Amino acid sequence: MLSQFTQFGQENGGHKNRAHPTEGRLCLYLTFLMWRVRDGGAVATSERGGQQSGECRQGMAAQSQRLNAVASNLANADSATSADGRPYRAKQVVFSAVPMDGGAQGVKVTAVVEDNSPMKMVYDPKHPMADGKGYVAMPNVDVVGEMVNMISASRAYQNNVDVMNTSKTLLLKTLTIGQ
Amino acid sequence: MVNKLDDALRFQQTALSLRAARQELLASNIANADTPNYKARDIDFASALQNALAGTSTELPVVKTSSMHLEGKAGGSILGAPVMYRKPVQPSADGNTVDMDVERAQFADNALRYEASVRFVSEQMKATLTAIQG
Repeated sequence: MLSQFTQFGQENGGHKNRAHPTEGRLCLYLTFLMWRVRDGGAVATSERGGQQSGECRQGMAAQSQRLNAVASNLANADSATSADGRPYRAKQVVFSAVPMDGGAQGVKVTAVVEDNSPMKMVYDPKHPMADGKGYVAMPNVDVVGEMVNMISASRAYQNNVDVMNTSKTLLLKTLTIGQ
Repeated sequence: MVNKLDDALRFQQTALSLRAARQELLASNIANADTPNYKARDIDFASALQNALAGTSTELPVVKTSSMHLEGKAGGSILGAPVMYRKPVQPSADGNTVDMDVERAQFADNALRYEASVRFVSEQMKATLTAIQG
């Protein structure tokens, strides 16, 4: 149990700012629930139920990190300068499937890459960051694309929550065998 | 006596294990709905259950004549049943073959059948108890 909790902490400790404050609590509760079922060892299948929650928990974590990147991109859509003095570059997360025990595959964010597309050049000679010709390099954030990304991420997150709820229902049903 | 009880419950127990394994695969598919190059996977439940009950495996062994040859299992196997890749209806440009409509429908269907199996095994136990206690 302890190892599960520490693993959980590592998973979420990696993000600097979490998009979903409730996600942590929900996952913690569900992890605890799954662990209790697993520890009870009532039926062999409960092991698998616990793992199902593992996949969707990973799915939720990955999607919430993607949502986080979207939030960062949208917030900085007009940031002509950043901590390193250069304009903000759009960030995108890279998903990849990770094999889990028993043939199932979870999902993980393997990298957060910066968008290499050219900066938007805006003519504004009065801007303090304007170059000799009067152009300012503005972030290469595709606002419309980011909105689409946001909707897609939130729907995928909801799907994972639904999977988790179904797994939980099935586990509880499994516990009623023989009653 | 114990053997007979075991035999009586084996069918539903095997079915439940397979349903749980399939649910896990479908959960993987849903979790990886946005992963580039991920291929949706599933098992053929009917043949998997038959094989699990008969204790046979449908995996065809691949003859390896060199240590450099790869294993013949593409998607792996669950309880002796080969895991197969789903035939894509509308493959996306990033190589992902997860069709959310199909996955959600199969997931709901599988969950329902799992619950049905749970109900069956419970009722079976109740019937046995009634027979014992009168």
